[in-house]
Amino acid sequence: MINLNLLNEKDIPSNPLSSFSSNKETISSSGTKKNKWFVIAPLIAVVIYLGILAYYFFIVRAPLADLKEQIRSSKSSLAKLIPKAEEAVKKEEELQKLKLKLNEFEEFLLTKNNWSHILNILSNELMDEIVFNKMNIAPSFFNKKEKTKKGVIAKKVPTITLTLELEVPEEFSNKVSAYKKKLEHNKILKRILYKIEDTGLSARKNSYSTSFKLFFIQSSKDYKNE
Amino acid sequence: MNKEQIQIIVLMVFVTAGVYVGTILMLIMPATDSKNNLNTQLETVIQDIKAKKGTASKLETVKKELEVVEEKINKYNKNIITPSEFDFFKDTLRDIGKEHNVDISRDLTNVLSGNKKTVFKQDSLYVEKEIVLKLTCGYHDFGEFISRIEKTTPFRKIMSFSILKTKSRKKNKNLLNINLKILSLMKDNTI
Repeated sequence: MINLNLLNEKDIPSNPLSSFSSNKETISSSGTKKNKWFVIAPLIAVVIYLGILAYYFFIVRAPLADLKEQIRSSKSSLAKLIPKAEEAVKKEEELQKLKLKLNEFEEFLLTKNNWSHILNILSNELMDEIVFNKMNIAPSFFNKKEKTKKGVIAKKVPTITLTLELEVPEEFSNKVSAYKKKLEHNKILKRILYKIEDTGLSARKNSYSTSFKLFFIQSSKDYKNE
Repeated sequence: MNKEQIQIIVLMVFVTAGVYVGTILMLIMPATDSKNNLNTQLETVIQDIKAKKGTASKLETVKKELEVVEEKINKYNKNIITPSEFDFFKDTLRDIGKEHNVDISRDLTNVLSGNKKTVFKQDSLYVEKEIVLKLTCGYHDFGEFISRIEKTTPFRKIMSFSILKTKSRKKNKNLLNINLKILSLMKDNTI
């Protein structure tokens, strides 16, 4: 049990009046100070507690209802947006599929070469003295050189290669390079070819033979500008 | 200050501290947690709204683009031949050859499927057929023949050919032996 008797009997002097004058100052200064703090300290504690409660009610708890209302209204706007967004996603997926199909159609059409026209050019530019023995076209790859920031880089691109094997009489061997130049400078071929390569002349009995390789740009959308 | 007074003060301090801590633990912390949760929820919902708004705003553009693409595909679908039209073409191929003095000595048709498909790799609604021909004709006759074939439909093209000169001549023309591969696209009967 805590003894609540704050006034201890031992502290009372035998002659209260005689001791009064000597202890007067002590009681009046330290006692008053203590009493003061017995009032101030609980008051401060109560004020702090009231501050805590105010913080709880006004800063923490008050916005909760407002937040809940905001969430509710946001969720309802979200619910309205969801069907529209889902439709957009579906349509986008459909669009991508159809784009792929369209690409396939267009790729086919863009990679069509007018071979009858090309055959005409090859024969029109050919001198009567030179005859061709073999010719074929087949899909392959071409090392296309591209200028980049890092320098010139060779990039493998799909191409259609036309290989032409020619037979040249000995006395007309100098005409081969002229034929190559004619092809290179042809207005149409210039646009649709990456490059013409030749193997050089190789001797046969009374003639020479040589092969030309014409690398065609595969898609007409990549044709060079005139 | 005597011992009992100190005891009372200490007790009061403990009681006060207990009340503070109790209030913080029982009232403030749960409320703060729920406030933070609600804030997070709200933020998530707002972000969702922003994302969905962004997606939904594209709807009209996507619809318009879809219309354009569909229109183009429909146009192509109208031009692409049917299997019966392909059969008709195959039946008349030798006649076309005769018109251009091209002799067709071999005529094979392969249906490309699975990995061998070159154009519509994923789409089973379109059929790819490869026509392999062995021809004998003159150089310019060959040119005219392939030009005619490619004109029969936009969705038919020359894939490869190899020409070899022969020693024979016909009508004052050097005859060539030619192997020709043509790719023909057609729609399935279901389209």
